[in-house]
Amino acid sequence: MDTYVIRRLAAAAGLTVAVVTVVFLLLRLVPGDVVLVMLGENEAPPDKVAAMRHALGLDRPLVVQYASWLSGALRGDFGRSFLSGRPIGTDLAARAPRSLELTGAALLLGVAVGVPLGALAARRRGSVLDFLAGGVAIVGITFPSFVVGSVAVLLFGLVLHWFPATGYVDFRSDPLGHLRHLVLPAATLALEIVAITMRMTRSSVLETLSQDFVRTAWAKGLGTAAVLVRHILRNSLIPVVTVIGLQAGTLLGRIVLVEYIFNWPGLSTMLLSGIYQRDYPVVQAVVLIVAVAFVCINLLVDLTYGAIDPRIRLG
Amino acid sequence: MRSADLRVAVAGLVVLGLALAALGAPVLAPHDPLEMSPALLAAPSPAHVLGTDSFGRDTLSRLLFGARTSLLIAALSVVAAAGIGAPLGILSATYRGAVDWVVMRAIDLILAFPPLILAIAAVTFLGTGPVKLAVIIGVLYLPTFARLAYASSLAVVQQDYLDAARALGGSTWRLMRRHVLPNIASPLIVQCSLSLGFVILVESGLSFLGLGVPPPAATWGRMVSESRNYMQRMPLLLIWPSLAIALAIGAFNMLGDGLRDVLDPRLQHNWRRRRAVGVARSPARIPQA
Amino acid sequence: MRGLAPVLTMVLLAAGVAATLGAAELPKRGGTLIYGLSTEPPDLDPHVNSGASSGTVKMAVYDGLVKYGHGGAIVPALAERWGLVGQNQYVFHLRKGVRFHNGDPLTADDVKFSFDRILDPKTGGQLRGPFSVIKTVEVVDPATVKVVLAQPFSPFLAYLAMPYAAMADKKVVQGGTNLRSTMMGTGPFKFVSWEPGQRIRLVRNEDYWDKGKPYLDGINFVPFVDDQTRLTALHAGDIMLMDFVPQEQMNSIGRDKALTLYADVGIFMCIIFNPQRKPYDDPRVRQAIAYAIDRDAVVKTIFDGRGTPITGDVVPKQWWAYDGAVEGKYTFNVEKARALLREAGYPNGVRITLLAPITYSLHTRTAQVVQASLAKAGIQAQLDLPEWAVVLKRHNEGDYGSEVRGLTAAINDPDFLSEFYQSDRTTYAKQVGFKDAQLDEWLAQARLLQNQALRKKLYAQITGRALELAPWVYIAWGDQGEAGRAYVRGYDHFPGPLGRYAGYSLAETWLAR
Repeated sequence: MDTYVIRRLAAAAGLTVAVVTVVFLLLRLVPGDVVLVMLGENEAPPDKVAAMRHALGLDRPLVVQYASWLSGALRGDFGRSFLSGRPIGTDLAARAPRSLELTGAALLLGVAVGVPLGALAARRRGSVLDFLAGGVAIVGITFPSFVVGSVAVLLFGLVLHWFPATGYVDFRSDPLGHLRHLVLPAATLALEIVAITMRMTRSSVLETLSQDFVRTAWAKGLGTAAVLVRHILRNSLIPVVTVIGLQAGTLLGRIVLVEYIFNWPGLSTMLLSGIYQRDYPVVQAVVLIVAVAFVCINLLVDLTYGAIDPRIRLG
Repeated sequence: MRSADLRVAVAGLVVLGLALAALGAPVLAPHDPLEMSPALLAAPSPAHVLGTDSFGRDTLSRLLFGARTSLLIAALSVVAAAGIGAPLGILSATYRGAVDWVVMRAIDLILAFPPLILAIAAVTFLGTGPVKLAVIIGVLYLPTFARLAYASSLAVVQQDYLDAARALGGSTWRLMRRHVLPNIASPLIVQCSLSLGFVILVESGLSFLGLGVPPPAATWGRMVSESRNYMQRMPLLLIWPSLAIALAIGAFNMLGDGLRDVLDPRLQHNWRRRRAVGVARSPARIPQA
Repeated sequence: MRGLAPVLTMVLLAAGVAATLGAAELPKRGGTLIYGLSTEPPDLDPHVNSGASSGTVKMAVYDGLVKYGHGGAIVPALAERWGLVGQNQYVFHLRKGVRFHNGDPLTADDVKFSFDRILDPKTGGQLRGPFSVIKTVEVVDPATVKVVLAQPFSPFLAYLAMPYAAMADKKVVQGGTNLRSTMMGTGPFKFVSWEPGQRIRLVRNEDYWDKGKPYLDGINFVPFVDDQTRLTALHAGDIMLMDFVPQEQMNSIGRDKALTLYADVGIFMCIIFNPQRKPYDDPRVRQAIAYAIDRDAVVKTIFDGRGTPITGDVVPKQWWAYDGAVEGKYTFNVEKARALLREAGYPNGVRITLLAPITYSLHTRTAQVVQASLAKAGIQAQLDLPEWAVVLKRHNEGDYGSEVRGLTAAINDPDFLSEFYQSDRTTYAKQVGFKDAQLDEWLAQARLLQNQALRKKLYAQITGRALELAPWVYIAWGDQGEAGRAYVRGYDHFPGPLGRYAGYSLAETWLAR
């Protein structure tokens, strides 16, 4: 077991470095010059451009730039944004928790709604509830989050005025307002999780329900609720946990669209503007953080899967 | 009729319908999708059955041509992903050693990125257009096919009778063709159908962000994005392309699920299949966008 | 009874006066304005043009020697008064007792330092080009500065009123403070913090030299990535004011009782050409394109009717320099376009590429409408739509055939045409090798003259020739502006192209609730 873990960890570390290197190189091959973005539409005579490039260290050899950036990053110093001169680490520290919070809220909401819904649907198989739950599942899986988000903004923000349509409020200054702003984006992200979790729970509960030990418990005289909670859910949750683990990883991708639509000040908006403005250090830093997070999540999932099913551990 | 067969039938019909709409768009569309009429943001009428957009272009025609674009890119992507991924997986399983290591590490590299972010970055680096998009998205889904093929082939390759056959002088190619390929055909077909759905999801997400096939070409994702500016004046503009996207994704997903159920009995006896499924699922291409 | 009448009249008069005064609404102090910006400011350096949205923030924190006021007039700011000595010397007398937000007094040293900084190539200052005419900046005494120009330059004050000529604190900058990420000015609001993606916080400068102002306790600038999201925020009341209202929304905002629209003509769309590439090298092709654009369709589709086609002079109609004689030259005329193409050797039409940034829907939409209309004259336009950073790079390298641009008059003076046509300016001409000696000569002459009548004649000649050569094809002026909740008062969108400097009126903005 230990060699497996060590091997996976080493692979993860190597992978992260490879990812960051690739991004670093590709960024410099991309057309578009950050100095020109900084100058905007105005006069950009060659001497001005050259002076600014020098000030940013862009005229140093690639290897030097890479080494200097990497050594800084390993120490936690991500350098400064080309465009604003602000230290990137500060911005990352401010924004990363917001994206994490949105991800966490979506997962929590998704599971809190999906699992009970799935169990209920399995229990009342064939009923109206089951049918409705199935409908929710279909909507959640087939409608992309940018569609769901747009409709949510229109319906709940503009028409019904139940929640603020956009934006973000700091928790410390206004806890209630913060939560209200969190609802729509988290719900949008959560819908697909609800759909998948619900279906998984439903099928695994159904499978468990038909097994002998459940009938034995019933025969012993336990009520349905007790049987459900004690035996079924415990056994059904294993595949569900796996799926949740997988969903957490892919949420990092979907969150880009949701943050865009709701103007949530997280990492993806930072990444998008960094890419559009060719602000290399910003893009490198965000990709590093996201890649590390993603690799860690995958690692956790693999390790968990390896722990559950020893047959899998071929890798 | 079993419910699985029913699902395949219904989904198959929808997919067929979409394909026909896509192929027949030039003939079926009542208007040129690029033609701008003076009637901006018009409500549905006999002249424009689903109304017009902010340029006065016919929505129905744009939906049909959007189907063409989306399905074309989806098909090309999956062909690229399967066409490159599957052989890579098979080769890795057959030859092992260095080949295996290189391929698997490359796949890990691709999988290390959240897919949409990788797609955004790639489009920014490489530019956009139907073929480039197909290649980029194809590369995103390559790992799924590679791992699927790898796991399925591994199972076969490890069986003793293959060594025996080799000892008897059979070439590796012929062995692959006769034993490996039939084994992976079914899961491959299922995965193709599922991947088509995921690809449409990614492509519409990219279009939404303005990174897909550029205007004035009609793409569903961009139609959704543009409609958001007019949500109060003409909310229908948001509905049509959203339904189209959902229909396409839903149909391909249902087809894939149905095919998996239909083909499953034939595979169930192979317990090693479960291991393959386990490997292929972690981390798999689950829908996202 | 008789004595009562005059008393009654007095009472009624008094009541009437009181009612009128009440209705005139005196500004209320207090409240924080939440302003939604169309993009996140990339930086906050006062001398750099990092886009109009960041300009608004800078105008709330910094002052220049002069600034734009109501009606677009140039009014005193840090310079209490000034005089022109001879043809090319300006003497500015600074206001007494002005302090930076950290308490440092404003002196002539800061003024000289700021000019030097603008002219330093490392700064990337927006006004380095126009200010290259400055020979020296002398500190006469702590409250007086003399600026000597190498030659007369009539638009000098107009440039000086732009926010990019703001005065910075010499001590603070030399002490190492990075003006890109923090702000230290003399303006109505003090910089508190910048949380990227979330907001830029400003609070009232209690010691502002314009006593009694500003009325607001503070301003929170919130950047948005998406226009629709921002508009939703305004409707929902999450923000109180927003800039760059999408043109297609203007009419519906104008009708909404809960909102106020502050819009005026402010931007024009045009197509510029690279005369070193085929087929753009032939002026007949460029003229054909000018004839093949359906400007009315652009106004209707892009500006929702809130615009005017430019069929002749691009100079705004209200300006003294406007030349009405060329009005109506380039109207939508497919036959003429085809005839010109035949003359130029393209009887079967021609293929062109049109560059535009996909990041900005205004440009992308214009490109699409233009493409559709050009097709009617046999001109096949291939759209090339990379995002903004790439368009900038290609523009700067002259790597394009034709490009869609949305511009405005930078200053309230027809000399803005120099940026367009003068062969040594890097805004356009130098990169693509456009050079017309006659235009260069006339532009230089017009800059030197002070007599308006003479200048007007020159600009008429310049416009006439530029329309013939057609290095730029003008499409239409359109409205640009801001929108706010109805309870926001005192905000003034200056007329025409100067609307971009409306940030100056934030000092007089107040909330009626």
